[in-house]
Amino acid sequence: MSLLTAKTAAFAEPTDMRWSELERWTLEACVLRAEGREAEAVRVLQERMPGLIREWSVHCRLPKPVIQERLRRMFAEKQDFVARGLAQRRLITSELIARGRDVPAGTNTAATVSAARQPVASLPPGPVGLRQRVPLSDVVGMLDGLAEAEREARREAIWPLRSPATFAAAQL
Amino acid sequence: MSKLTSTQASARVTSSAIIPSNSTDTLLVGLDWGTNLSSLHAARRESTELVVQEQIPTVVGYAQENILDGVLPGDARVLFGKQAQKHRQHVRLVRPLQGGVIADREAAKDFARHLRTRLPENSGDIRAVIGMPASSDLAARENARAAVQGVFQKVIFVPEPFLAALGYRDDDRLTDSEYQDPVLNSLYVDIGAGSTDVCIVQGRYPTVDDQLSAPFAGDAVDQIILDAAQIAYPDAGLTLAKVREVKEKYSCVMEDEGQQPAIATVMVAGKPVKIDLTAQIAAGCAALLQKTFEMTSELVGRADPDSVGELLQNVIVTGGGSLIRGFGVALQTKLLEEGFEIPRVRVLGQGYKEYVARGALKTARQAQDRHWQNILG
Repeated sequence: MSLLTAKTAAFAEPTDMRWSELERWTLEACVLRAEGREAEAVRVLQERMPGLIREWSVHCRLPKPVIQERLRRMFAEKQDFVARGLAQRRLITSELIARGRDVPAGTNTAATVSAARQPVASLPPGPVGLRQRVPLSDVVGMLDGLAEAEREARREAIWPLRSPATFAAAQL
Repeated sequence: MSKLTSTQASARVTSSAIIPSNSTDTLLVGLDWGTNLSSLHAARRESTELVVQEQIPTVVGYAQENILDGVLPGDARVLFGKQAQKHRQHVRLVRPLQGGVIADREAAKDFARHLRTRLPENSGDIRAVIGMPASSDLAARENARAAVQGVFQKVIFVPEPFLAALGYRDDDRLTDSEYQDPVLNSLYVDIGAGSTDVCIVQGRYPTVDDQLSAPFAGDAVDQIILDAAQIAYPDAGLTLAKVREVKEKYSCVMEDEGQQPAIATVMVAGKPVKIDLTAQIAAGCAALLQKTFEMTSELVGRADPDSVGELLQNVIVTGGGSLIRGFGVALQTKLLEEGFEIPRVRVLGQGYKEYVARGALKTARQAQDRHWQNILG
């Protein structure tokens, strides 16, 4: 065991509360970003994370390269968890949405909605709006963005984004 | 359901029906389905000429039980828009929308079918782009979809501020060096009946972070006035409809000397009595001004600091609430007093309804097949 590894094992216990907080807020930033809440994600990254990182870095007393490596790895892991959770969710919810529809032959399956069969009361609140910036001249881009926002709202109704992301993180 | 056998002769506020058509091409519809007033534009896909351009008060009147023959036009069981308002004493008036979203699904369906009667009879495939409040959620869209089932074949729902921006922009003048493009850097304040929406438009469609919406607008003002008036005049038998009527005539946010006394005549024990609602109306309008000011300030605070100077030069107030006398000047004064640099507030009034419908039609023309949602039924 190298000196570096030994130091890491000695001072950065997985149960370290500061490290747990760092993981929690990193995951939160990733989830916020996946939800399209960029401003809030940036706020977490710029306002909350620096203090937590500073606190943990001082407390763990690890060499700077090890600290940087640990943080880099943890950030990558959290991004990966959220991305995987999202991908699974997209597959499952698309299947559920498709099965829940009454689609007569000849209709546009992707865009058809049976209004009468939708569980209106159980749909999540919150505006169905654009998350990304689209120039005014790009009407097609705006409509694509809105369609994706609506699909995302339907996925959210079936399986809230925070569930798979949080579930994946809990498997750590 | 035979409710709709009625009223072909309904509710045309402004109508320029424009060219007869016997084409069976796809008919494109732009609809601003407002809480108080709806605006309907329609044109053939292959033509730039409007076949329908109409504003209709969003209200349905159901005939009272046992009403005598000949009282309502054509002995209709259901009236719409102006006709319903005109015969309010003999019908049960229902507003299908509250806060810009459907509150009464049956009335909304009836109203949507009435809209269909305003379109050419031999329309083939009818596709509608429908404006929704910026804050509307998925449930609101589902309700709207259910309401237009059997009326339109395909729909797209788009937030109203997007459509207003598209409709307000004069595409023909974009190359004109004299033309000041109103959507390059502006802040729009739309005060409707159910909600006040504020959004920043800076050459792109506003994202959810660029807009604020609050369920505080004309209807809330009416309630404030009614509550205060009932305390002052408990025997006057005031109703929201009466309060709304007086407010629309006398609403004002000017200082005392600029305000016309708001005198309403009500019937007490069968006798006409004049009551003064000036103070109550002033209080309701002041509350709306304050709310609008707070939302505007918050959104300006979110804007890119480099863009704020120009943004403050283009604060545009629209919707029914903007018709309150002195509203634009009062908002500008409050912004100035708060320390914002040289704000300039312009009032567009109800023209906004037309912009949303016009923008909806522009959108319909550019929509691809993948964007249209089939409505089953």
